[in-house]
Amino acid sequence: MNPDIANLAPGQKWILKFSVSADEQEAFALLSGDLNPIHLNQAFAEQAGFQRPVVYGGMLIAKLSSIIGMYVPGSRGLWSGVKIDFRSPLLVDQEAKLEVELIQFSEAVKSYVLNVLITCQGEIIASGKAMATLL
Amino acid sequence: MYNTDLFVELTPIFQDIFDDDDIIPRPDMAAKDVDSWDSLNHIRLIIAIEGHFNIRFTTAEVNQFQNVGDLVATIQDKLKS
Repeated sequence: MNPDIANLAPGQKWILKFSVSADEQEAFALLSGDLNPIHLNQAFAEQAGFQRPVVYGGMLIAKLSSIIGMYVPGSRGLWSGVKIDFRSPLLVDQEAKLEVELIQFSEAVKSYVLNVLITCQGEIIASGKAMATLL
Repeated sequence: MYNTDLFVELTPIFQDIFDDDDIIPRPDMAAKDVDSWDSLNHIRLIIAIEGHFNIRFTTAEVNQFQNVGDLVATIQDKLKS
């Protein structure tokens, strides 16, 4: 995807609805080396008070990568910064919504500032900001 | 002549961007004077200043900044217009 960056403007939003499966969690475990059973083991998660394993925070960041890498600014830029707070756990197989809003573009330093919000049934899972810079 | 209020207003921005509660911007301060003033933090600084003052710099203006004094002078000009 190589979006026309000339059409990118503050106020634009991108929405991604997603859920994370147990298989995807296992793939992330292999990729990251994070084998914390809270993310992988049903029994462990239940003992910890969760109905199902907790989705990796890094997996949520990965979903943001799909927006930045494919849409804003896509192949013309690089992700240059992120500051995310994880406010509430997302569980495996729960439906979530990622909303990314372009709030500022600096022509001087060719960089976009994005608001990031992940929700699940109206509850905030994660929020913060990201920055991407044109190459 | 610099508007000294702008240096006061810039102080929390500098402290946040460079993660240094002791940093106080001054006219002769330049990137070489601040350890964490690298290219990425420079981008963050410009973006933060643009957002805070609701102004827009041009690439040419940013490239000509030699120090914080130059930056403040340009902010002053933009706020006047």
